Amino acid sequence: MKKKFTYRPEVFRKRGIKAFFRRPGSVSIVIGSVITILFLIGALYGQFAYRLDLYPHSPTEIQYDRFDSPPPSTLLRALLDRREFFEEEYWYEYTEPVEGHILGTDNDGRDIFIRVLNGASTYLYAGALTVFISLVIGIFLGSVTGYYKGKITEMIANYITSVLDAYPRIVILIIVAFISHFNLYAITIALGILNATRIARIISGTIESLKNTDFILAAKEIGLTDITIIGKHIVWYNCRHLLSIQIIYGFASVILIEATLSYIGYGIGEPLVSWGRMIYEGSGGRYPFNFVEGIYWQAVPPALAIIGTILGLNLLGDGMSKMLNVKQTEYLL
Amino acid sequence: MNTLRTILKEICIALLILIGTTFTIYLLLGQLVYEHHEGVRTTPSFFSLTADYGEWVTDAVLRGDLGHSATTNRDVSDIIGTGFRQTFLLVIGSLFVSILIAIPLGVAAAIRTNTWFVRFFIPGTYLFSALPVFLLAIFIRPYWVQSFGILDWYADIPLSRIIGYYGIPIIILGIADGVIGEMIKHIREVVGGMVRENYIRAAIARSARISKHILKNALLPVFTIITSRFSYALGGALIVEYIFFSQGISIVALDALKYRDPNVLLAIGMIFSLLIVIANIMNRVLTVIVDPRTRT
Repeated sequence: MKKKFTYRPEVFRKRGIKAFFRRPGSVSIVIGSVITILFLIGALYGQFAYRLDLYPHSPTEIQYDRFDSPPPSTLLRALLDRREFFEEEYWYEYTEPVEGHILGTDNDGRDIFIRVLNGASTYLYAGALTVFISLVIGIFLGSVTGYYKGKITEMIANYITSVLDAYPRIVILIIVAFISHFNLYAITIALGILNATRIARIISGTIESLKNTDFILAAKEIGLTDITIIGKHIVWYNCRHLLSIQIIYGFASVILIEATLSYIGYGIGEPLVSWGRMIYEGSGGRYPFNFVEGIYWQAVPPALAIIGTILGLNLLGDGMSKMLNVKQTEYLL
Repeated sequence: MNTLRTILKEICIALLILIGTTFTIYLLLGQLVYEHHEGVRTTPSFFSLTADYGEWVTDAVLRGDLGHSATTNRDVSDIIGTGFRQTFLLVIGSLFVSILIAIPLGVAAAIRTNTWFVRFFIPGTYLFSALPVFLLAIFIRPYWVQSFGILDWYADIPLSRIIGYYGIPIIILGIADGVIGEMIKHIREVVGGMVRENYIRAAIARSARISKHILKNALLPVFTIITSRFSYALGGALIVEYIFFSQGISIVALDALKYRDPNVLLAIGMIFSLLIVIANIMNRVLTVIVDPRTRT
């Protein structure tokens, strides 16, 4: 078949694996995407392994194997049957890594391996919701501030953006978590609204630099609506590479902030697994002990999971910005 | 005259932003308080909250009175003032630490590209940007307790111990949470673009000093990152305080939330957003001083 000639500059760029690895940022893209894919697989496995009978333990199931009676999760229960409360084995119901529990169990006798993987699915869900909300709000605010310069709508949108920037994040987030009874959706919506400002800044900056170019003026002259110009010609054709990088960084920041919040006890609520709360429980709580030399198996796996995931996402975003030749300063403000 | 007008405009904008933040925090905190109407427990309505907020603002602006705590009946400014010094020390110290580490490394990475040091050290900064503050803090805390912890303030304490007592949390806050990695990236890009320009090459050729120019340009992204990261830094300070010290703003805030004490939380939120707004204004002023082209 005869190929139609169209001018596509990327055709003249070399293709193939060797050419890919010669470009800047390729190594970090490969490492980052491998870690990200592992994260996704882990999230799916953690969510479905127990339901599909691939793994014998569920993330919330309490193991009674070593005891005849259920472990005392509360002091009340311990006081009710006080006969064995002062025997050491009764209240140390966690186990080290053994056969059956690859990474051991936590203080309530729950399997840590499946809990870490299930935590990945929590973060995947929360991150996706947050990023979606921040994209919607950020694109709206940014396009209004950039496109309708000097009008009253622009002033209102600009005011909202600067107010969102001036919030003390952690205070707002702990208040929201407390009054919503640690609801996943309330926390993610608050986080998404707070994270929207960066996206708004990016889009308003791009619009300001593109507003007087020929193709936008031509599009106005043809009679395209503002929504088409902003949505298609500015956001989709000229911002999508910036937004894709921001989405990846957004996931990383959600994991960081949620883990921090649930470390101080104001994160996503109990039936859902959160890495920050696992670290809190495994490292001795308010006054952490030396968990690396002591009970290493409880806090180290979620900590490694947090570090690994954020490292992978950061590497992926950075490699992408290098390869797409996005300047770092371009998505700062 | 012109500068006076811009200053007045800035102050007006800052006040409007502060009103916006405190009003939304007030609305959120309204959910903490209960009212009883004919035996039914409800949270106060939007209109009554707005009226209360007006009262609070007039009190705070005219008399400097931030209300009193609902649990202990002490003045809020009294409760916060003691804990706030520590947080301020932590934040300012950590910003200095991160600037002191980031500027030499970023400039070195920009000037000496393709050396072994840069090739292996710059990927190492990714690891630091992936470390949450609380993780590094709980890892270090046991060793910190062993060597510096729990000071008896009435005894004679050697200065080295006090420096360690505050210094290690400050260093942790400065290193972790991705501030350093981001700073190094941006400084590297800005300085790397600058070194290739003609006037710097001419300056090198006539063996003039270029360190002044380089530092000037390296400072710009640092200011921007500090202001855009300031609310993160405040949050990190709260976390570090929560883990290392038994008293401080974070403990006050969490207790106020637990015992449903909205005035304290409102004051904390107000002071934090005031700090963020001041940091934004400082950023604009310093940017104009460093680079007069950006004046509008």
